[in-house]
Formats: sequence, structure tokens, C-alpha cells
Amino acid sequence: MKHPLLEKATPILKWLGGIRINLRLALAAICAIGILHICATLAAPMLMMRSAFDRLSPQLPVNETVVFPPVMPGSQPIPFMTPDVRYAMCRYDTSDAPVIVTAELPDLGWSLALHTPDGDNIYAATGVDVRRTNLRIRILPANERFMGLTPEALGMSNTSEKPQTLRSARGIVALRAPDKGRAYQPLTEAALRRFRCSTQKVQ
Amino acid sequence: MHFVLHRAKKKLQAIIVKVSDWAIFIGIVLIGGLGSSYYMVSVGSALTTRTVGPWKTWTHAGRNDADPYTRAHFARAGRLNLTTEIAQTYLASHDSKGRRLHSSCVYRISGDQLDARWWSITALNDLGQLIRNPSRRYSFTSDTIAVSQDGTFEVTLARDARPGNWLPTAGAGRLAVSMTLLEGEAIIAGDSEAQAAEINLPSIERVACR
Repeated sequence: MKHPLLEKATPILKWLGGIRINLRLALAAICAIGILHICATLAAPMLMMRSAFDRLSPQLPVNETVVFPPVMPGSQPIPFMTPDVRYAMCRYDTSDAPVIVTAELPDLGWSLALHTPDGDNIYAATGVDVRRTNLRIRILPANERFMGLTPEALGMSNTSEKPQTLRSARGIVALRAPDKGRAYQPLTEAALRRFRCSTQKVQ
Repeated sequence: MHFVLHRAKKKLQAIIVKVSDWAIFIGIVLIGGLGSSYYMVSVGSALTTRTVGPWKTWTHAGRNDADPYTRAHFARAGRLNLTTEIAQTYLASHDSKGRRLHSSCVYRISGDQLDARWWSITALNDLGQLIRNPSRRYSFTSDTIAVSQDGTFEVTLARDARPGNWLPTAGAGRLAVSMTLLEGEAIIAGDSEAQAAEINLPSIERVACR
């Protein structure tokens, strides 16, 4: 006695057996599937109009820092943005002048990251236990454009600490502070407010 | 007259067969090409993701050398991830036995000391939104979680209040649990492959369902 499933499948298998596969067409289909797969995957980031950069841009004035309030339901600027971390962000644009970013990472769990509009991290640093980490970063445009003379080139002595230099046209700098509980909230808030991001005046 | 009609009918049949062949060809190409791309971008594969028990992470998230699938995934999701060279974000939408997480059930997330300098665990709905609850509990971090004397911890996901580390799930429906590990020891050592083999993440057990 045949299995009922096999009985049902027999006519379908017979029909499939009757199909003559055009090998050239099958090969063409496989090639076309491959090409479409590659094109769709590569084009996807460009077609997505709601990347994290697009979602955050309206809330972030250019080259200014914004300290976000604690993340709450209904006020998440981007999905999966969780309240275990407090955020201060700056949307930088180096088309007019270099941008200087200063931040301090007072403790473990703190991090500073530069994200390009595509979401790549071009720079990331984390805080260490007990010791405060002070960061000073100069972001220059990605191309080799002349952005003015440095103080040294103008014959002035530059007494400030030399910043780390990065090249990027635009993106978001995000300072992340871990949630350590209510008792630490004022300290966290104060450290987030010391985060600076502004254009550098050049001559 | 009858012969002409017969020839026209034959010709029409041939055209229909050809058009249907092309329609099938285009259909297969569209479904195969777009479908496989969608799957690889939204679900991922062994090449782009790492699975540890119920937890899954995209291995090249936020990195300069990220593959096109990872780039497309995060552009689509609209997430701003720290590079995996510093932090790993794991997401679980199923329990340790592979059953979908749902707010109608109670879950116990239990783990040992995690290999990271700082970590957090957050309950979300499957769209990545926080779950509204009157006690305003959304996540625990390595600083805020209550750990037992032997270093183990337990987090309960439940609708109603529970003793200990309770994360309310209210009536969120399908759930997702996010876990971020900042600077695991293997990351510091620069050996992410070793981390993949040895990482010890918490288990998610279903305790009861309504």
C-alpha cells in the first residue's frame, strides 16, 4: 500500500518529469539571479532612506553637540537605541572648516565613536578603569583641500595639546556613557555636557 | 478558411508558450535574485553572523571592512552600532530551545560572569522598541544588576512583578533581547575567532506561559 503523501505527490512528480529543461535558459537564469542578487545587495544601503544618519540628522544641528535625554519608550530616535547608555552626539560637516572634537571618558564603559553616514566607525575609543581619558580630535575633509594655515605656520607657538587628526567629510560623533544607576546620573550628565564639537577657526 | 484559422491558432499558441516561458524566467530571476538578497541582508548567514545559543551577532557591524550584506543590514535597520572591534551586540528573538520569545510567557535569563569589561541586557519588542511599563525598567547593566555571591546572575522577563532582576514585558507581543558586551577579553587580545569558540553567553529558558 502506498503512503497517502506519495499518492498525492505522484502526479506532481510525473508532471515535473515531463518538463524539458532548457539548459541554456537555466544557465542564463542562474547568471541573472546572481547579477540581480549582487546589484540588489550593493544598492540596498543607497536605497534605504532611513539609515541611522538620516533618522538622527533632523535632531542634530551641524557641528554642535546635543545631549540626548535618557532613552524612553516612544522617544527612541533610532531602533534598538537602549537606555543602558546615555548619548551625546554631534553631526559634523568639514566642508567649510576642520572640526575639533573634545571629550572625556571618565570611566569604564564610556566610548567615543565617529560614524560615517554609511554607519562605519572610522574612529572609536573607550574609557579605562579609574583613569580619565581626555580626547581631542581634529576632523579634516576627506579630500586634500587647503583649509588655512596652522598656528605654527603663522609663526605662533601652539601651546595646546596636539589633536589626533582624521579625514572625513561628514558623519556623527557619538559619546556613549553607561548607565551606572541613579546616584551617578548628575556626574554622567556633567561629563556629557563637557563634550564639545565645533569648527576650527583658520587663517 | 478552416486551415487559416488552424494556423493562426497554432501561431498564437506558440506565442503564448514563448511569453509564458519568458514570464517564468523573469519571475524565477526576480524571486531568486531579490529573495536571496533580502534573506542574506535581513537574516544573514554563517559568513556574516555568529550564533551562540539563542544569541546572534553580525560579526562585522560598524567596521570599515564590513561586507555588503552587513552594510545593507544596518542601513535597513537604521542602527548606529559601535564597531565590533570594541563592542559586540547580540540579539535573541528565540529562547535556548528555539521557541519565539513572547510576552505571554515568563523567561529566565541566567548566566555566569561575562567576559567583558562592561555589559548590558535590554528587553525590547521585535521592532527594537522599548516596552512601556509603569516601573520604568528597561535594561540592566553590569553596574546595576544584582549578582549572586558566586558571580552568576538571573534576569526574569515577565509581565508581572518578580523578585530580583525583573524586566517587564507588558503586552509587547513578540520580544527581542539585546545584549551588548564592551571590550571582551578576546577583543582586547585581538582574537575574535577565539572569542567565537569560547564565549559564554546566558541561556534563555521558558519558565511558564499563560
